[in-house]
Amino acid sequence: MTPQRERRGAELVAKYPEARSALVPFLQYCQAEDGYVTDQAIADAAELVGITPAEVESTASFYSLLFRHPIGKHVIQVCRTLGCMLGGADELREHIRTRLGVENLETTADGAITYEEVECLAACDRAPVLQHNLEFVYNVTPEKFDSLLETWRRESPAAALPAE
Amino acid sequence: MSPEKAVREVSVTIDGNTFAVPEGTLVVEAAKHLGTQIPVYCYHPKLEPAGLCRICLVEIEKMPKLQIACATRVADGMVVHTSSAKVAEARRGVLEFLLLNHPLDCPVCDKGGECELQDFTMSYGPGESRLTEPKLHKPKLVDLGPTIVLDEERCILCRRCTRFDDEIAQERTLIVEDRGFKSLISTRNGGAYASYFSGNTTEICPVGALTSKAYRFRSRPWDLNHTDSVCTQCSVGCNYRVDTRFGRVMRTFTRENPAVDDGWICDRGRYTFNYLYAPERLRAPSIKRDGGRVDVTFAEAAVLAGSKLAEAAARGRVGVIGGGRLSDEEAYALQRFAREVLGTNNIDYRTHAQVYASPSRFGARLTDIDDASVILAFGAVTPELAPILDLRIRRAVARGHAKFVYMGPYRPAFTIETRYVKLQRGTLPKELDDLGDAVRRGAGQPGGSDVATIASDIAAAKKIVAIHSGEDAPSADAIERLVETLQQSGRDAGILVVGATGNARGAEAAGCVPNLGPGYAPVSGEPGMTTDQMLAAAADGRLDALFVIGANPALTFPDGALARRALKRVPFLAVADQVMTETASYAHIVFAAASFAEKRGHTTNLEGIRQAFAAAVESPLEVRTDAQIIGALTLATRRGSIGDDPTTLFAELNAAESAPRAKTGGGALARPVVTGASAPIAVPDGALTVIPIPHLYAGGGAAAHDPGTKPMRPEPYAVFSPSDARRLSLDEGARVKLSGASGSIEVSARIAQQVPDGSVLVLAEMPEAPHNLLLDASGGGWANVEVIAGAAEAAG
Repeated sequence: MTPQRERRGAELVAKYPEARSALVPFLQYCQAEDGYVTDQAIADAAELVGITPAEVESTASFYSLLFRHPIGKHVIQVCRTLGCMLGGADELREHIRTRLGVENLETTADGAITYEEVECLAACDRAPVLQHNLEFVYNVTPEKFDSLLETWRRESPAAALPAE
Repeated sequence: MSPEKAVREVSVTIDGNTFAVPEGTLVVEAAKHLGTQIPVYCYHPKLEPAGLCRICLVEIEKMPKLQIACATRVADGMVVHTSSAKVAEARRGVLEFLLLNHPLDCPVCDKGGECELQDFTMSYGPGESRLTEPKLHKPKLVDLGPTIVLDEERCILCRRCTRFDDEIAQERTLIVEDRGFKSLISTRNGGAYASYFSGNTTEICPVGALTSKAYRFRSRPWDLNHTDSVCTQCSVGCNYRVDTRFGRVMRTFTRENPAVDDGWICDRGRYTFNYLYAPERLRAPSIKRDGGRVDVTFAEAAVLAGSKLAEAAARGRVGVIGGGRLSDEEAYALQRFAREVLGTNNIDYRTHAQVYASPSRFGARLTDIDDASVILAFGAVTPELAPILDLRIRRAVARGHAKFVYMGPYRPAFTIETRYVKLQRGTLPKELDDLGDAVRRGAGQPGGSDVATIASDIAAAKKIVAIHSGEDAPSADAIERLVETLQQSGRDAGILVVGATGNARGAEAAGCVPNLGPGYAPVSGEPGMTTDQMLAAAADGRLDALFVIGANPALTFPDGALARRALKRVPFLAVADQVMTETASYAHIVFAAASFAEKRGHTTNLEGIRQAFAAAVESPLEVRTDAQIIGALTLATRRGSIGDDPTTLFAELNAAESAPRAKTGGGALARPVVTGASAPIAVPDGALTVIPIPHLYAGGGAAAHDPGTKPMRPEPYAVFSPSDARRLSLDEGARVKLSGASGSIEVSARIAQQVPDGSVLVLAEMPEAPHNLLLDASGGGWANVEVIAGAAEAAG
């Protein structure tokens, strides 16, 4: 574990009555640092909170916002549940897949954008919705997506997902 | 909660029957009092309630919704309905969900016929599925490790297996990956689930998801015959069932005995039966003839061996080695054979470093571990030597009331929090006497030292269990002195001796030692020779014949070079065993002996519980039980008659044990004589002290040839400390030659922090690289290290 990571880990552990509670925040921190949850981060987390690496893996795989493989600087999560489906999400997702040239949970060839289909994002009144780096975008149409994509391509965020 | 606290009873009404149960009882358990079955999947009596599967929903009056019986505890006056219309509807619904993506491949499923998903669907489920969409598909053939294949489609995600791995084995390698309908039972990054307890998950799996490689597609449950048996692989004596079909053992299955195994068995015990059908299994006696080995009939072998043994007996130059792998009846017959027929007290079951098996006083029970406050282990590496006993230690420590202390020459990899005390060879008695003094002086120790720390653990302790490897007599005496001190200080304390062989204690009790007859009664006349004396005598040409039965001293006796010299030199050697062992390969006559599954009798476990096992299958034609071999040899010597009927022998053994005899003082059992004691050894400059380390799957004989445990068997290795490795410039995986005073072996090198500098840990009892070629008769030894090939070269 790097000294910096160790320091941050100790701070996080100190926040909770049980060390184990610091597991997810610590993994988020590692993800922000490395871009995704690396094997090293799993090992570090296990050491930090005193559980086996397998148990960390189990937890990490449970949370859809923790990625165990490299992701782009942009993560686009599109709802595939009923409300959005009725609002045209099927066509939207078809459009995005073709436009980016990726399937669900894949990252574009240039490594910039990761695409993911997710369950209900709880904004059914403004369907279809997607999240770009956890920011909601409502009433998305293929055209709206294309223009947003242009904007996103020009930006270069530090990390797709925040540390906390 | 203290155990003394009286348990309050509460009244509960289930399906119209009102009765009292202890407060805190789960509804599912309370229903069992009535004989009412509430269906469960995720619930298991040995695991904490999880409330995952919902099949156990019941109706409880005054509660608006149905409740899960597996996680709801009874309250006074609670009224429960387990078979109302609402409950039936709920069960149908749960089952429909559980079956939603289930492949229904029952006709080819191992579990079919003993599957709770099948059974409950028949009893409570909907007959037909309403699902018209395609089912979700998941991996059907996941290789989970050396023993288990997982079918993710059949899995209903009850998590019994992961909870077993978490709560019982406490190894936490089996996990649930992902979530929701995508959840999979898995290991981290596809790593192996290589627990010593993995087979238990196939039993507790309520469906056919976890299947054992050894049993997969071998039989249907309704075709199996069941025979109650006892595992003889180690000295714990776990109870199990041998399941057979067409006269062949198909699998073994737990048979819960709370006092012994608590319902679990380890994989070594579970899977070591396949050697019965391995090509290496001896199926007929054989004789060394014309430079080769020829098979003969049992009668011919017995007549020849009997006359040779009789000749040697007439000259008083004969010895008998073995007993620790026989049944109690056979061990009794064996010592009769030595004493009455061969006229000698030269008999000894001790073929390992173990020098005694029965604590002469203060014997503890396995269940004493459960509520012990301090568990002291001396050289007994319980995870490798007695895994099911180790589960008890793990549980006691996990519950937070027990402290675990291990004293030994190196720190084994325990799964639990361990207070480790490093011992130099021969220093245990002094450490223990110091500890005893500290206990006598009472609390308020000058802190800092190991002894002071342990003394303060003990000061707060009510119950202490000492676990000894049975090696080294002065240590045994010191442990008994310490336990006596603890008892005098008003504490509950006792000793468990982990046997090197399954029936070490039974053999000792039956009289397979030079100075004691059945029931530890001192023998009349001069005590005979111990194993090391017999081997030394044979090596010097002072013995004319040796009979070795169910023992493999060439691989297990501390001084391997001496054992091999003796077996080679003795003019006549007869060996009885199940496979061609290193010892048997020296024999003039080898008898093919029956296995545990092919005979009946009793076996005595490490705490002295004598348990019966029955014959499950017949043995091959020319194979005989050890009792039959002893009986036939007796007839052939024309020097008496010993029956081979287990029932008669058992009655004789019981009578001999209960015969009145002079007490040996304080009600103590007499201890077998020993020669030598472990004094420090002189290690030449530059050499490393050899410390043998046990491994669950090591061993010669059956263990070396069992196809069931072969995948788990390690390659011979030696472990070096990082600084010694640097000094010797060897890397992990390098091929090294270890040369001792009287032999050398080749092994692969490992490097680990826990190895003390100046020592090398050598995997014990590997026929390919016998550790005992490096040791002397007291178990001490040293080795010079030579790197034969670097890691990369060795791998290539």
